Amino acid sequence: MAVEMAMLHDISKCTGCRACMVACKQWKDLPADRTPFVGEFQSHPDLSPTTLNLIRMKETIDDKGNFRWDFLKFQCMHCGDPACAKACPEEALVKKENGVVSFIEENCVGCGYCAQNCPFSVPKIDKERNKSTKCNLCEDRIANGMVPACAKTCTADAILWGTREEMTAIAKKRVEKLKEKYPNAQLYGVDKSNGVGGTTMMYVLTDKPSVFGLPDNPKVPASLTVWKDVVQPGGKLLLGASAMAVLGGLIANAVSKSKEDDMAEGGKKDE
Amino acid sequence: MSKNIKTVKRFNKGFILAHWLNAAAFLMLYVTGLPLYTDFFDWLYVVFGGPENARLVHRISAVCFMLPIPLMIIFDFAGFKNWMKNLFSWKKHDLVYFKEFPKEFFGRKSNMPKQDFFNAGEKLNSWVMIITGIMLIGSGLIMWMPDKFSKTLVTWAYPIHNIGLGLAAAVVIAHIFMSVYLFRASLRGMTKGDVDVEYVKDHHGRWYDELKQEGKVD
Repeated sequence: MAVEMAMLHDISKCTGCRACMVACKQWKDLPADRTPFVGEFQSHPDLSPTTLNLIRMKETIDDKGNFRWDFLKFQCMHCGDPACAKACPEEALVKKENGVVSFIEENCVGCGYCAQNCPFSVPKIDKERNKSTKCNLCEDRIANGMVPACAKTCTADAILWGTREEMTAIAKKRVEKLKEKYPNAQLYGVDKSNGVGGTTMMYVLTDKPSVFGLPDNPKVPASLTVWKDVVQPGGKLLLGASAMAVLGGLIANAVSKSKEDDMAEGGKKDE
Repeated sequence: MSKNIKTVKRFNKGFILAHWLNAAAFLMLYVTGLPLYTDFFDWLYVVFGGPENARLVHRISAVCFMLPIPLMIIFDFAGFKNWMKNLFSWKKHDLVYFKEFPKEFFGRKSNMPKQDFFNAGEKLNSWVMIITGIMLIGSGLIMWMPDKFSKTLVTWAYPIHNIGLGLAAAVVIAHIFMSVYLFRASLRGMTKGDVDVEYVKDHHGRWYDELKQEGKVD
C-alpha cells in the first residue's frame, strides 16, 4: 500500500500567514516559544525542539530596487537518502516507503549525530529530555488517510499534499508558469538524483535555493560516508583480527608448551 | 622457580600511576561508548542507568584520560624522559624485532636481538597509544562542544574518534594478552615496579648489559 507521498510548498502562493506553524503546534501539542524582536518580521530565528515548522521570512530588494518578501516553509526535508538515519547509532530514524523519515523517540539517546550530519541542520536536540526533535509529516494523521496539519490549514493553498506523482506534475506545471515572471524559477527536491536522493518535502521556488536559505547542492556529508561505510566496518574487522591473533597465540603457546613438557618427561623439569 | 627471585627496579610510582589511570579511563570510556558503536551493546546503557549517565561517566573518564602524561611529567620526570628517549630511538635491533616477533608470539623459537629498556613492541604500543590518544582527545573535545566548532569539523570528528578507538582497542587486546599471559613476568613492573632479572635478560638485553656495566646485576 505504500504509495510514495510528497508535500509541495509553492512559495509563490505563500502569504507568510504562519497558520501552518500554529496548526503544527496545535496538532503536536507544543508550547509557544518566547521569541525576541530583532527588527524584522522573522518570528523564530531557527527551528527548535518546540518549533518543528517555521516560515522563514526574508526581506529582499531585487536588481530593480523593488522590495519583496521571500517566504519559505522550513522543516524536515524527509530526504530520499537521509544522512540523519545513516548517522543515527540507535536506529531511531528510519526512511519509510511512503517517503517519511520517521522518528522513533524511544530509541533516541540524544547523541546529536543526526543534528550534526543533517545537510539542512534540521534536527534540534531537546537538552532537557535528551531527545532529538524534528517534523514527522504528521505520520499519525497520514496513516489514517488525513492530510498533515500544516497542509490542511494552509489558507493560500501554498502547501499541498498528495502522491509524489501528483505533486511532481503540479510542481512542473507551476514552475513553467512562474518562469514567465521569474526567470530563475525552479523546483527543489523533486529530482531524486540530487545529493540527498531527492526530498519528500518539495518546493516550487521563484529564485535559486540559496536566496531562501536552502543549500544549492545539498549533500550527505563525505565524512559520514567515510565513517559508516569504511571506518566502522574496518574497525570491526581490525578488532576481530586482533582477537583472532590473541586466540592463535594462546593456542600456539599452549601447544608448544605441552610439546616441551613431553620432551622434559623423564628428565627433571627446570621450572 | 625459586621464591626469592632477583629483581631490578623498572618503573617508579608516578609511571605506574599514569599507566593505570590511563588503563582505567580507557576501559570506562570504551564501555560507555560501545553502545553508540553497535546496537549489540545497548544493554550497557541499562548498566549505567541510561544514556545520560553513560554520557556523564564518559566525560568524567575523558578528563581522567587526559591526565596520565601531565601526571607522569610531574611525578616521574626521569621516567618520562627515559620513555621519550626510547620512543625516539629506532635502531636495527628495533626493526629486526618485528621480523622475529611473530615467532615469539606464537610460541616458536626466535632469534630476537637484544632490546632496549622499552623493546620495539613496547615502543610501537606507546606510539599507537600516544597517536590514538591525541586523535581521541582532539576529536572528543570537538564532539563535546559542537557549538564551538564548524559543522565540517564536528562531522569529521566522528570518523576520527572511531579510527582512534579501533586502533587503540586492537592494540590494547594484544597488550593485555602479552602482559598477563605471554610475558607475565613483565606485569610485576607495572604493579610492584620491579621485574625479574631473568626477564630483563630475555626481553631487554641491551638494558641488562647497561645494568651489568653499572654493577646493578651480577
